[in-house]
Amino acid sequence: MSTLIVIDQPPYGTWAGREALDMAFSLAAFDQSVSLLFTGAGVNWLRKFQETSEVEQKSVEKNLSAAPIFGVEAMYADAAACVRYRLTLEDMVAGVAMSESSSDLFNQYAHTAFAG
Amino acid sequence: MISGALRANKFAETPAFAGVFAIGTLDPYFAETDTMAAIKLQNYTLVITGAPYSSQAPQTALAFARSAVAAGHTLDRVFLYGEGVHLASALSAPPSDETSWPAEWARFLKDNDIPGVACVASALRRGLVNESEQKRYELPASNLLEPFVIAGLGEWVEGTMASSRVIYFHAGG
Repeated sequence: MSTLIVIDQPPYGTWAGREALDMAFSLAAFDQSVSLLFTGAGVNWLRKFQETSEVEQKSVEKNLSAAPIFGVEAMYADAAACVRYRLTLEDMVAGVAMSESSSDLFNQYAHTAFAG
Repeated sequence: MISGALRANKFAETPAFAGVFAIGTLDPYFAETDTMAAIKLQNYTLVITGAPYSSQAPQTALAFARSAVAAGHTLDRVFLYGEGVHLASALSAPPSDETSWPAEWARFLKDNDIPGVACVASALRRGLVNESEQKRYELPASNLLEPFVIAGLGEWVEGTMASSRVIYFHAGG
């Protein structure tokens, strides 16, 4: 069974995205097929060079770069959201693929979970 | 009368419905077969990520759970994640003219013999501990309400594998 975890909220404002990421890592740890989709303000997770010392949180960049190592199969960024937030693949962490149609992507997965 | 399964599908079609923002293992088949005879019994895992008294998620989930059980469906387990772990607090003490959602949920789980699991990482961050975690971290108290237990995300993974549908109840907003 394949799962798509959707992160649609920006990092640092709430804990929901981190906990969604933990869900993805947990599925991968149990050898379940899992991928991530960043959409809406959630695409800001993917920015390179995040500086978080002022908000006293750990940067999510390190967590994301660990995703392929933990067995997360793919990381997608919603193309329209990237345009809105002026993000190109060059601005983002390695290993991200653009998704032109989230609905097509949803159809490829048996199970979908959003960050709270 | 509307069944739990059909109701779940209604939620899927109206994402603005209070507290329900994501539905797992969607089956569009139900939208086209809108008769009682076509309803197959489901085994649900419910995931609650919204806290009581700051979101409607626990109430919406309980209403869904009651309807599902009444319609003959089964609940594999209820998993509390993120802010949802506050639902398992034995120290919640709302005013007497308000419903105690932790107590209501605990009664429902006991009456129907359904496992209720709070994610350990979410719980420890938010001050929700059982006796063994209290000892491990040398904390001054424990506050886990029976019959809830504390366990890892593996319980959620197992739920997604064991049940036919997984439904998420978020705070929204």
